[in-house]
Amino acid sequence: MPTAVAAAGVGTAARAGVEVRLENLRRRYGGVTALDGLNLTMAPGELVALLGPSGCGKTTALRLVAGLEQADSGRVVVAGEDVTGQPTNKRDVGMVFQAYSLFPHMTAWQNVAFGLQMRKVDTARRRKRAGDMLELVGLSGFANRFAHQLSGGQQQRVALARALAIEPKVLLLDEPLSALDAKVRARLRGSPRSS
Amino acid sequence: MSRSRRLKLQVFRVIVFLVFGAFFLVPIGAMFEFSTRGNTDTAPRTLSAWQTIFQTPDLVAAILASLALAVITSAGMLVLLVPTMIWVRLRLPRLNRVVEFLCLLPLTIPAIVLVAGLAPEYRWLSINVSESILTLAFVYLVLVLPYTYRTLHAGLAAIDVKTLSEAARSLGAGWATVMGRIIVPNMWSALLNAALLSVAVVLGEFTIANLLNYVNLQVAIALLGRANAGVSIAVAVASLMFAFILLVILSFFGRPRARVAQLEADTTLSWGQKT
Repeated sequence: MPTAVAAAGVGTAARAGVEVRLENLRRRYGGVTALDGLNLTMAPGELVALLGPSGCGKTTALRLVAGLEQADSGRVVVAGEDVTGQPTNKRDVGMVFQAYSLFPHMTAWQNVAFGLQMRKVDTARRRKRAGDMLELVGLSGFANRFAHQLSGGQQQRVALARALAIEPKVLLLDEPLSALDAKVRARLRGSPRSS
Repeated sequence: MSRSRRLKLQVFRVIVFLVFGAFFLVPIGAMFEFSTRGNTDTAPRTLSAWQTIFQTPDLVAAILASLALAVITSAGMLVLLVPTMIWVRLRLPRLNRVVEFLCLLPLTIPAIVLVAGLAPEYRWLSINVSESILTLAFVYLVLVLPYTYRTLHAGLAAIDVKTLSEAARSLGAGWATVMGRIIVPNMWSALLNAALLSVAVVLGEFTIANLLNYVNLQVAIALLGRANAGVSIAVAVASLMFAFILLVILSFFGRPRARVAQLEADTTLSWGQKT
């Protein structure tokens, strides 16, 4: 049964999309080749899903785009700029992870505002933007709850709001719904696109 | 659970509590009783041994030195071990075993062997750097490693360090921010426990200080015991009580958030079911 990973060179409401180009990417883990010369071009604003069986390198491809891993060879080009050697925090790439990744000591609102704080957005704008994002994912009434007070589906929606809040050039979704049960997964499937 | 079973469990709990309470309190009570005896069997009870603590300048200096050593060692341990362990877990997992081995090594080396190796170093230190007792912090830092490593390791294992740090990094956080604002706040109780263990080890350390000719709290108590047993026992009780009070204070440090979270969780339930 193939699993799916969605990756997108997206345009968010406030920002036009950018082109993402993966050029001849190679990545090996010991004796296992995860990626063997991957070439892929994503047009600005395009929503691309990588489909394939478990272990075929979908997550590796996303992690290379995010800068969470380094390629053995090849290039990652975002908006015409070679970002292959850039650290993750300088890439302007938002990511929603497969595992629950909300910061447990922060409320939903603080989680969403974190990326904005890192970008030194002033308090008033931060507050408004985080509020807007939570409203977008239908969780404005849950702003003051901690991760352990949210269900799995709610946590992943907050994670999506957190990734969208920073208006990234590229948004990466690494099987964000796979940890949820089938019913909730079916209900949330449309939310990344509508966001 | 049936009512009789609940009652039995309650009785069992009380008995366990009383037995353990007696196990800890009886020796301390006996020590306190001894420290308040008069000079003869018929003499009335007196607190003169306790008053003498503050009138013995060497003892006060030893207490202050031990407290300073406890603070320096705890701070040094946290500064050294926390970033190292986080970094190894995130970036150099292959070194995990090596760091664990190095941290647990002091447990296997008897203090006398440690001193045999350290004596030349401390001779050099006392001639070229300082004769201060605070230089003992270097060796105490090594001594506390096994205990604090285990505590911090458990704290780190309780959170998904990798995913949290990757999430923070993708949101624009640098490594210092990841450690200071994401990882550390989520292992707060492990940090407090590690600090407490360091304080307990340092306040109870006798062998190394004695063999290296430094007078810390335990050495001062031993020296005093030869001249005035009542005062030495009074100081021992005081140091035990100090460690106990510290333990209680530190255990309350970690609580407010948990209580707030619980309160909010209760409120959540009244708002309705999670979706």
